[in-house]
Amino acid sequence: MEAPNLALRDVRKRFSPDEPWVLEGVDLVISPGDRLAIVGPSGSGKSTLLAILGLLEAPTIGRVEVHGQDTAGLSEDARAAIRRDLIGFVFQEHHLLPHLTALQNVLLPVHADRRPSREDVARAESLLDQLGLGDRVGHLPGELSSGQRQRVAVARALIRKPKVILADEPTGALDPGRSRSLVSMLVDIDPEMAVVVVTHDPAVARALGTIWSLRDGKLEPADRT
Amino acid sequence: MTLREAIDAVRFHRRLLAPAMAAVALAAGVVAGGVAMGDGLRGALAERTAARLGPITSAVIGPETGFREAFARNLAADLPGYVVPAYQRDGVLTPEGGGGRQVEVWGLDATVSQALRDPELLPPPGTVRMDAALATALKVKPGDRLVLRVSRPSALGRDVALSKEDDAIVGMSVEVGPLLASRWPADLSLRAGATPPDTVLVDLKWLQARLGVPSRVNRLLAAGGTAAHLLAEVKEHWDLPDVGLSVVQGAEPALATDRVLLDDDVTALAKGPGASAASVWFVDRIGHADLSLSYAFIAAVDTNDPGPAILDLLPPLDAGDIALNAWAAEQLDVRVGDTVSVRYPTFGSARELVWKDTSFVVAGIVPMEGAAVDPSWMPPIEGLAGRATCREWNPGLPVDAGRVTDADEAYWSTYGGTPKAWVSLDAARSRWASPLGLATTLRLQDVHAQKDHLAGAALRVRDALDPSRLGLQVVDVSALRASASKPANDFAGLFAGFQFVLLVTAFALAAMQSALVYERRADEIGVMRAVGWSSWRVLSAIGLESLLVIGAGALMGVPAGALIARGLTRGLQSVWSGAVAGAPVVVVIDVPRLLTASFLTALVAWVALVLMVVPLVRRPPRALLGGRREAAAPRGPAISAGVAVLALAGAVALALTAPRLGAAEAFFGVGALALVGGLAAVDALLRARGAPRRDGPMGGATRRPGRSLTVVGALASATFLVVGVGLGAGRAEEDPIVRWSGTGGYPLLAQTSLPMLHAMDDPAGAEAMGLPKGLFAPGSVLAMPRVDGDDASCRQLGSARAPTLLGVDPRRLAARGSFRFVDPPDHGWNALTEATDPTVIPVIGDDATVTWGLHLAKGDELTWIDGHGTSVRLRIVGVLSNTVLQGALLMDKAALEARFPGSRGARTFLLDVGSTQTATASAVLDRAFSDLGMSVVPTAERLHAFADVEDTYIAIFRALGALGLLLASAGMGLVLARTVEERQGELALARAIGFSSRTLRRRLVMEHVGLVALGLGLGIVSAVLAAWPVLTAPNAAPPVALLTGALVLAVVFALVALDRMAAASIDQVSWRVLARDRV
Repeated sequence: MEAPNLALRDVRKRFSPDEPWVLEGVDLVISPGDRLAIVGPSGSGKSTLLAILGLLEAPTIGRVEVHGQDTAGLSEDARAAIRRDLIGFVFQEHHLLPHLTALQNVLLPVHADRRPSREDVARAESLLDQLGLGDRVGHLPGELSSGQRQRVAVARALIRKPKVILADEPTGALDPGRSRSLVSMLVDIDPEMAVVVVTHDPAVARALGTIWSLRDGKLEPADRT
Repeated sequence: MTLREAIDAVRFHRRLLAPAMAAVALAAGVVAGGVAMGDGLRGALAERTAARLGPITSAVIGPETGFREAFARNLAADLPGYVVPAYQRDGVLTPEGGGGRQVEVWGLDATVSQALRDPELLPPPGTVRMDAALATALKVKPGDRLVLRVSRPSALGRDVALSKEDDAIVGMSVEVGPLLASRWPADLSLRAGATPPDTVLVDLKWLQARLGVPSRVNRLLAAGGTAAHLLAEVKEHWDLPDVGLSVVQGAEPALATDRVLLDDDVTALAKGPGASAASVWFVDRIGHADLSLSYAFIAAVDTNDPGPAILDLLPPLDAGDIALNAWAAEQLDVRVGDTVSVRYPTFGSARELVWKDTSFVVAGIVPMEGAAVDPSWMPPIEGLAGRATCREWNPGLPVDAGRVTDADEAYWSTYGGTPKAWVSLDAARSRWASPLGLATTLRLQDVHAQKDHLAGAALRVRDALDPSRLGLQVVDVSALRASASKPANDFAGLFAGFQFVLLVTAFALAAMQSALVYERRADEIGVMRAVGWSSWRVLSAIGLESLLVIGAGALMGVPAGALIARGLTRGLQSVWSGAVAGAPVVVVIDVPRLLTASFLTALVAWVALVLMVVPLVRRPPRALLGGRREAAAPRGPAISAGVAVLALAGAVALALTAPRLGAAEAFFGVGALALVGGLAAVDALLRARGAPRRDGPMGGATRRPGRSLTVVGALASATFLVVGVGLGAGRAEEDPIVRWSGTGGYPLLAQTSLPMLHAMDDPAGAEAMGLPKGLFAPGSVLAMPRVDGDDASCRQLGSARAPTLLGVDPRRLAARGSFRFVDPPDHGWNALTEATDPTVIPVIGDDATVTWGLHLAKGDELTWIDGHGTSVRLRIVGVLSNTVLQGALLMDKAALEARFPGSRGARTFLLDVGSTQTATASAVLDRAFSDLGMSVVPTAERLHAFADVEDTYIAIFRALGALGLLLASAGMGLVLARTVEERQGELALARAIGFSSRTLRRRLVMEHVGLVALGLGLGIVSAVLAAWPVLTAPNAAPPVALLTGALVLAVVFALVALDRMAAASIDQVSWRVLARDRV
């Protein structure tokens, strides 16, 4: 049986010894093709969970496994390489580089290990086109609306054909129509690609299928809550 | 990231990056400006050196009486380029209205005008040519008449009583010829000095005739070829007359010298098998009972040497024996075994003449035959040699013609200077040997049998001697040129150093602004890291981007540097001219050099920036993206408090041991420890306050202790340097009669161009020179012989290789307690006479001369070629606090006169006349010694002139330091801007709920006032601690008002900067930040 792409084993997290645990014994396995929504109240640690899952943050206790291998002890650059090859991020805030055009922002992950090829550029343009930004490729983020910026961020997450997409409130700045369109694109773009979305929006959560709820540091299937 | 994307990033963030770029431009400009200043100064020195030395590559410097012109011509034939024979003397040029000026007189022949293709260059006989600067100084114009006084060359030295005194100085009425164009040889001189030399050109033959040295020159200037080549030619072509020696024929060939006394070195060198030294002395009287002979020569021969022919006629002679010739024995009615008395002279400096009496037992009577009748024994004493009768005698010694009898005349007529008596050389050595020498001739017996081979004898002597040890010195002028063109100090570094505060502050601002830029863009770095960029790749991207920014700053640094250099040069030409002693300073803008300096500076800034960004890049990506960070355990105040205690204790300990340290080491050591201790204390204070407090004078400071500490440190360092240097420089006027002061307790300093032959504080000497009785009490004049060399004072910008030497009497200085040592010798002044190694001569110099002029320290050595052409090592055995004798090294007078026979006769004087009589004494001396070119200055005035240089440097440092202080104050505004940046939400909320921007502005300013106060206070306290020894010195006079003004200005500037930055920052706070969901 193929090892899961990502797995959390009894992950606990707190930001300082005198603060309460944000996560308390979280176990989660992300396999190819998974479609997960993580819901929970504000401040419940959803974004922290996503950051640990994406190797942006290390757990205080517990293991984060990539293809069955523990990532504890990896250097920050080794973790960056895993992110580069395996994970695509869509942040709560779009985090586009303000001096780069939409196209250049999409190609930013490609620059992590090489100069973009013609194929990379064509793929970036195609993704922007699919996201309704075909006429905005040369625009700077400051010249785009909030929703357009978010879609550029989605295209950036998809450019390297990641195995897992981790999205933190990707539809927060979008109207319902654009939200649905974005989610269905994430769901449909590659059946082998796992998609994990942190959201407040029940419609988005439902569109993904499997829903997990994070409450009091515990992660449980939503149907149990 | 591609270059294009990096350029786009810079263009996009240009407003954010502009201050960093400007700060880099300022730092690069400071360094480039220093380089331009150094280049300018080097250029000016090179120009001045070229004006002095022109195309000369090497030179021969001969003895005072010169060498044969024919020798010069022989050399010229074998050397490339052209060779200019010259006669150079120091002289005094006096216009009709008085006011003599010391000049270098150069007698040149047509060679130079032919070589320079300037037929008008050579002045006609009786005319002097000078440049416009000297004519202006003398207030003369072409056609005017002047009196030129030059000392007549003397092989022995005019201050020796054996020399004639009456025509020691030759006065010549001369006309001013057309003024020379300001190019070589208008400023011809082989000496490096602080100011361009005052040179006059005259016709060589005319000068030779006036000085009584026909067909002789004492300088030979070679344009082309190397010094080694010239030296080889000199060794091939020289002959005995070129060093004042000759082989004369008497009963046997004999080596004689026109200096009368053979140099001991020559005696030792030439003495070998077949050569025997003899000393023929002019005595006042030989007496027996009631009879006496006046004025006779007694010859002392080496009785242990079987060679001299005279020994065949002499009885064995012990140290108490004498042999009279038959003529003398008859005149004195003497028989063997009788005792005769002899009155003979001994000679010291300042024409000191002491008559001594001795007695001998007659050991034999020498028949008037053979070697006993030989006038060639007589040395060539001026005023005796060549005179037909005794009545025509006119030597330096007093001769009473009334004592000369007819028998004496008959003897002189028949036998000339044939000695009338003979003693052993040992007998002479114990009686009349002196530092001047003993032997007057070498008898060359081995050619006794071949009287016709006189030339062979001369050749043998010549081959045994080294001309360079006899005063024929070859000088490598190319090396002199290179040395003189090189600034004594690294002026590029010096001016960059002057701007140190500015440089450090600019770097600090560049670093702070860059840090601000990248912290503001932390989310961009976070995204790159999140999408898989390695930290190295992120650093590369930032490096490329910042390289563009810093490169642009470096480019801007070139014009900034040129502007700074122009500003500094303008200052040095006007208000700061004291720093360069009025020397011309030009700006040299060498763009490639400025670019290099600018880019190297920027490179340092770039490396610093990249290193500073490394921790940022290594932060966890989520923290960079604005998420929560894991809180590191905050460091408590204990470590900082410990460092503070240790550093402050170290500062106190160092301050207590300061007297054993150098002033600079103590100043910077105590200051640095106090600053470190103070900053550690501030750090402990900030950490002890725990959670940030948002109001009050230290509210903002506790938010980021590191940043607050940086800005407090910059401000404190700038304040320390400005205040500390200001306090340390303050000194009150020294009383010139205080003996331990820089004047040595002598209120007047006099210098002459020509040597003074008598002692001014000796009643007989004063009378001989026409000075009023009692003007100088015995022992009140320190008369110093001088060997002219390079000026090594702080007023001289070029490098000094061979500084001027002054001969002092160490016992007198020790007895007076004159001057004070900063680095004393083991036995005080007596160390000058305590040479442990005969090849090393101890010298003492003052601090400025040794440290800055020569770049040496106590115990170091330098070499000088002495008057015998020997390379001597001068070891610095002690260092004086700055004195009026700055620029020269002090040597024991006796050692100086022995090593440099040509220096005999004092030319520098320190005069103790009592503070109320200085004006009268100056006037009397000016009048009495204008012929000698005497200049008299109050020592206090001269010290002032030296202090001017130091004071001006300090003024420059203070002015540029103050600029740095203002810049550091402006940096406080930057801290405030960063605080606002971090507290946008808080401020936006405050505005949203009704706080006016004015109220917020005031609160923000107040939060940072504490930092300003801490920075200034810490700097002041450290400066006061470091300068404590100077502040508590008896003559301290710190410029408190000036420093207070500078600090008030800094405070005002800081407050204005804070206020303006607060206003600008608050205006940029948008309510939109409140709409951003940061959970």
